[in-house]
Amino acid sequence: MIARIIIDLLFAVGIFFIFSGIVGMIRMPDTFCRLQSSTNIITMGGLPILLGAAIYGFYIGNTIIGVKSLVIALFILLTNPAASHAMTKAAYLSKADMINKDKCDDYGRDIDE
Amino acid sequence: MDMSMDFIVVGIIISLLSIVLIYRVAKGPHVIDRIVAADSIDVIIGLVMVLYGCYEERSLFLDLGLIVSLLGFIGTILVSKYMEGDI
Repeated sequence: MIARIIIDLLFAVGIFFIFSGIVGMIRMPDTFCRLQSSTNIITMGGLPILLGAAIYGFYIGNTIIGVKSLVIALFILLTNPAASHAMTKAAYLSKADMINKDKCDDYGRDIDE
Repeated sequence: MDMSMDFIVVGIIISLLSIVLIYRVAKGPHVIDRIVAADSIDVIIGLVMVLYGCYEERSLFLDLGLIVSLLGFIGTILVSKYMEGDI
């Protein structure tokens, strides 16, 4: 019973972060702000759900489900920052719109030197 | 421990939330917006496959989730490098 409570709490945390990330993806004013919200979805939303699946797999004695869930979690944890970095650099170099209210463009200054 | 109802509910909620992202794929003013939304949908589909594997108690669907995540990562990197001007 205690394992079920832990797994459901992890699922609730994952659903909350996915929901807040999707609200950010719809309502943010800027391409770079939306990139930040997508990181919120993938990292904080995906990892608790995969961790809950791993705990479930180990608890019912099906070890393959647990190990594979942990492998997927490690894969997402390694590859998502690389993908976000590549997308941000591509958005900057292809001159995406940057909102003018709080502009702080240190990367452009470093490129021009 | 019978948790099949929990996996069904979580999977349906996540799928309905990922349908909302199609709005950003269709409307997004820049290419990168579409790519970000498509990548998020990819990862969410992987999560739904993991949950379905837990529901069926078969580990075959977890491999499918890993493959979907991998293909989404490769596509994202490819389009990003193209937009950067390297290819």
